[in-house]
Amino acid sequence: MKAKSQPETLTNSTMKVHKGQACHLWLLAVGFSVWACALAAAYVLHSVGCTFGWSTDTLRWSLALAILIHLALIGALWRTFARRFPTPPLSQTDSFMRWVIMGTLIAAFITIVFTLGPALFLTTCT
Amino acid sequence: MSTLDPAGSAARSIANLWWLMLTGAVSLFALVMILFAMVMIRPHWGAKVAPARWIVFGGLCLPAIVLTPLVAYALVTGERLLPGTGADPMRIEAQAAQWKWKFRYPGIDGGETEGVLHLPAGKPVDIVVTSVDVIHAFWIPRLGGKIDAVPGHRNVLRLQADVPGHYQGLCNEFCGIGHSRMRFDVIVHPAAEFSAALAKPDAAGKVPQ
Amino acid sequence: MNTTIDDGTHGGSALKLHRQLAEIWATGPGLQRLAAINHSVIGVRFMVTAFVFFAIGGVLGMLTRVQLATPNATFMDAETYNQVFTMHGSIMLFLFAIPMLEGIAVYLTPKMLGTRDFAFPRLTAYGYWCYLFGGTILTTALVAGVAPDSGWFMYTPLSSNVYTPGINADVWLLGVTFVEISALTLAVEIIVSILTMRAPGMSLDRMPIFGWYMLVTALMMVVAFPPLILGSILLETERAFGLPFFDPSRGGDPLLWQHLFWLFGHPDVYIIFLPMAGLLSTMIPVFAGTPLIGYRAIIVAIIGLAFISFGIWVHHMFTVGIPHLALAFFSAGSAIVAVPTSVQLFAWLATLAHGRPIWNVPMLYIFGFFSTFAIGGLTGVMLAMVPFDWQAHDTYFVVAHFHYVIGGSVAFPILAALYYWLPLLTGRTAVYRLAIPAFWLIFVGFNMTFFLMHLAGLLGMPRRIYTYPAVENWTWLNLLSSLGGFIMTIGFALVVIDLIAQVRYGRRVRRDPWKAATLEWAMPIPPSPYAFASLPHIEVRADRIAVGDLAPSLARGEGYLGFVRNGWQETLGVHMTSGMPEQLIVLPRSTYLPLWTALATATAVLCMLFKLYLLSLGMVLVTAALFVLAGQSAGQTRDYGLLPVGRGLSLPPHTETTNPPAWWALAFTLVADGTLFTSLIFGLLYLWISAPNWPPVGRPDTSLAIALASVVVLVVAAISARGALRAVVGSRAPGAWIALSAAALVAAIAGLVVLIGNVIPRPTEHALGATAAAVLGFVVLHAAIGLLFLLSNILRLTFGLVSARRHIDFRLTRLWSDYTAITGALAIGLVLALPALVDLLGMRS
Repeated sequence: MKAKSQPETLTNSTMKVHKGQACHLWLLAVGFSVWACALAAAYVLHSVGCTFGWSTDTLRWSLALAILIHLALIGALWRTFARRFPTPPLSQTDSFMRWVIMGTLIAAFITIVFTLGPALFLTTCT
Repeated sequence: MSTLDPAGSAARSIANLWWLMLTGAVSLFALVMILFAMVMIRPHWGAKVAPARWIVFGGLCLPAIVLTPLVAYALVTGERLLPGTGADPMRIEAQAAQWKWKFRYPGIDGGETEGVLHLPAGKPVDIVVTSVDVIHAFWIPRLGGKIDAVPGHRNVLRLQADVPGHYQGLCNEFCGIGHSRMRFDVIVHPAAEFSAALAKPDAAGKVPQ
Repeated sequence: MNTTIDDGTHGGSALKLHRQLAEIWATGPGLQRLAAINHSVIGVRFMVTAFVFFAIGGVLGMLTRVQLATPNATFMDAETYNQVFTMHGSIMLFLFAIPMLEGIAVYLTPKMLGTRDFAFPRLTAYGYWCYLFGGTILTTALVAGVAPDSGWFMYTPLSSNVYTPGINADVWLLGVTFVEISALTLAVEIIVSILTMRAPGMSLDRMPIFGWYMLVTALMMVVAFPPLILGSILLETERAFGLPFFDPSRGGDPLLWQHLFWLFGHPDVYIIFLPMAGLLSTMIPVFAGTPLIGYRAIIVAIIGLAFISFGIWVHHMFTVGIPHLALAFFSAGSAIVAVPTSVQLFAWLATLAHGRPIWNVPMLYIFGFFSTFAIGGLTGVMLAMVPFDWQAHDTYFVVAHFHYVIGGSVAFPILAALYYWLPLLTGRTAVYRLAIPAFWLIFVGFNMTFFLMHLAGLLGMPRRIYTYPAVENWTWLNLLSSLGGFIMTIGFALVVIDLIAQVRYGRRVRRDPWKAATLEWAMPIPPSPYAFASLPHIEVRADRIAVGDLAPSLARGEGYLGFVRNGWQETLGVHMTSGMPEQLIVLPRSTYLPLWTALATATAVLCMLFKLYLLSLGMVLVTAALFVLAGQSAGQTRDYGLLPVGRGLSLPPHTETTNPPAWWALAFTLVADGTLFTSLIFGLLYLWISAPNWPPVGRPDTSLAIALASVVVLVVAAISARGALRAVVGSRAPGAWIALSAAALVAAIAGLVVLIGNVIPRPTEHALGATAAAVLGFVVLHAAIGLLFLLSNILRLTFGLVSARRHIDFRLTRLWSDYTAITGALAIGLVLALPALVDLLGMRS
């Protein structure tokens, strides 16, 4: 939180530097988009499975697979972002983005486990 | 009509869930309000706890230890209330229309009743709920939860009444100007007398064949 | 001092600058007020209008309480009561809560973010007029006794033309959709403005927390409203033209309506709540005297909240007969959604704990919020538990719960915010004589009214009954509830009197009375229409600004744009993330255009209502033409190159940049449009898998040749739009490309109309045909709008608004054509796949 005594002089070159950093705002939504995708996949699998009379085992294993794929995806994203935002040196904005993106990834991981996990133990189509 | 005065197994297990949740909710509410009072009245008291701890303990740990067992308990309760489990129970058809209820008893010589549902005591019954016009909902508060009567769909509700007696049922989904008076009576007979009671030509609500 | 200002070369005396700016930005007197587009003016209008509707909705609520105070009451008959409770809910949600938060956003956001106005002031005004006209249609219907009467969520088949043959349901479907579309335009505007128009240097991590809340809320609106808009359109076409989307006897499904409604309806609760939480997160640090704790944690929490709130819509449908396993997804989701809310709650508690909180009137209301919100949240978790919901669903327990959540948790923060920001609006501080008794009346009345309803629900009282027999033990609960309602109403009346007293007799203040640290106070109050005489450069988190030091230097014109030029209304556009200034944005001056456009739209809606479909179509075309016209007056007839903006910086005007706000606006509009398209596809597949009376009698059969040809011409249109853009950038004439694109679009429309004409089964006979026609109709509509884009291109060329640098209009056309080609290919592909889908149904168990 340093208070500068001189204003930053803005030229086209400094603007370009800023543009290069952390401009991917949509990354903030990636973690929970994976959760949304997992929920949609599970809900669709369940409807299709029950409508077309899949056996309990088929339905159960396909749900488990859908959940695992999405969890693995979050793991992969975690690794990608951890490399992409190197620990120091970071601008304030970069460290903020890193914190929030990682936060949403962890939160989305837990949300997938919590919301879809119970499906592995319940009666399938009643 | 009270859900807190259960007369059936489904209503009882849900009432138990309610009392459990009420206890938890009262304690959590008290906790939040005490914390609010403390931080307002004694500013130094809460400053001893680091900001991150406030958020991690209060915002994450507290809900986690409350919600996880609660969700598990509720899901297990829900599983036990599902129809279609156990020995093949008796099925009764409940058909909703604006603004009356008709009940049919397949396999029993009783035909059809209107505005009165007859049930045997101590036996699980699957109610098959349908509608001929708009959406209604079938609900006997003292016996168990409700299920919607959706045109084009057949929904099944498992109920079991403990003892013989008279109960009230009602439509619980808004269905037009007659919604408020779309009620029905429920008569629970001793299981042994059920078929006979229903077969009587003067059984309550009996529709002449 | 934490924000630096250099000696502006343009700085004159503050008063001189004020006069110069005011002349450019002010709204004229008298009738010219109808031409106002300034955010301060429109924001206040939104809030005042929302309060009027709140009063109307409140009176309706009181009427229901009068009716229910005693058993077997004859105050109202069932028919009247149904209209009254339907309108109470509809008004409170669609005409009070959403517009109120929009008004707050319009008024406060630009000021908090350090900019002079929103990106599209004319659109703000259009949104306001649409809201006012839509609301007027609904209230007029109420006075005329033909108000909607199927409940505020309009469950079909009750709301279909079989069971509600009158105009009542049409009033709801058309009136509410009208208001929703206005909300959607505002949501797009809020997003684009927050992302691209902040004070220079305000990177995302320095944005005041309210900016984050509004950004997330507006993004939610963009995704949440389209399913309801789609549902309303489908239901209205079912009512008007007999297309059986929701009719189970012809392959429709009433549950589809419930899915579409709650896909909107549940996020809507959080759309209403999040801005309130944003207000609280802004006020609490001020009263605690310390910066907000957990800024980043709150941002993660609200992002999570925004997403999860979409994934729990089915908890409104626990009793419709969905299998328990699927309910478990939504039950667990509805439980875990409590985590982000408790993160916020504890962040606020931590802020209070680490500061030295003071008691004052806003704080009193914040206390009211804490207690009602805690109760509402706890009962929310209870209702998330499936078995308990089977008992409590659609009883007064639910009525109690949602009044705690969207009644108390909105009313208390709004009243706190009102007392906090009123000095900003009026330049006067509160009298406070009536505020404290008013609070206690509202607080006691509120809890008395709604707390007892929990018990009434548990005792078996269903919602929406107009009366009840005396034998139930509900009587005393209802009587006390009604009494509480009257106490609460007296409280609100006192608040109104108190506010009027403050506006008239409050002590005048010139500057920030709260020692706040956000930018909206860094200006003389009440604010001038241009808000900031010059724009600050932000170098700290923007809720830690030394307002007292900053304001005078800004007023002297020592920041950016502290001068006037060409009579332009100027402000700055910044990079989304870093907040570095990128462009000079020139905003339009006051105009009657928004009013005329809204009047044309309202006429189209009214014509629909009275079944004058051709006239309605005509008015839709007029509306579209006015929009194209509006686009023409937003350009520049020459290239300016880099223009000085103060502090030694020069920037291009927005007309000469590649991504001006308009580009982002179209991008986010397409997000909304894509959501609508996805909802439509979902609807088709949903009916396929779960509606009764499938498969239909006739096997669907689509002409492969015409279908493929339509896809090809759509792609040709998109390629030609690219060609036109390339020509413009290369200073060549784009006329041939535009002509080719237009011809291709006309051919696509012709092909698609033929396909719609030959849909089997006929759209009125089975939902399969109806949805197939709807999917193809979607593409026709987009191709037709593509023609409007081309028309706009031609007009711009004619008026000299286009150059190698000023090519934004062609970029917009390219984006639209690409989108039309992609959705067109998907839609036509799906229609071609229908026979295979129908065959698959034979394999059902």
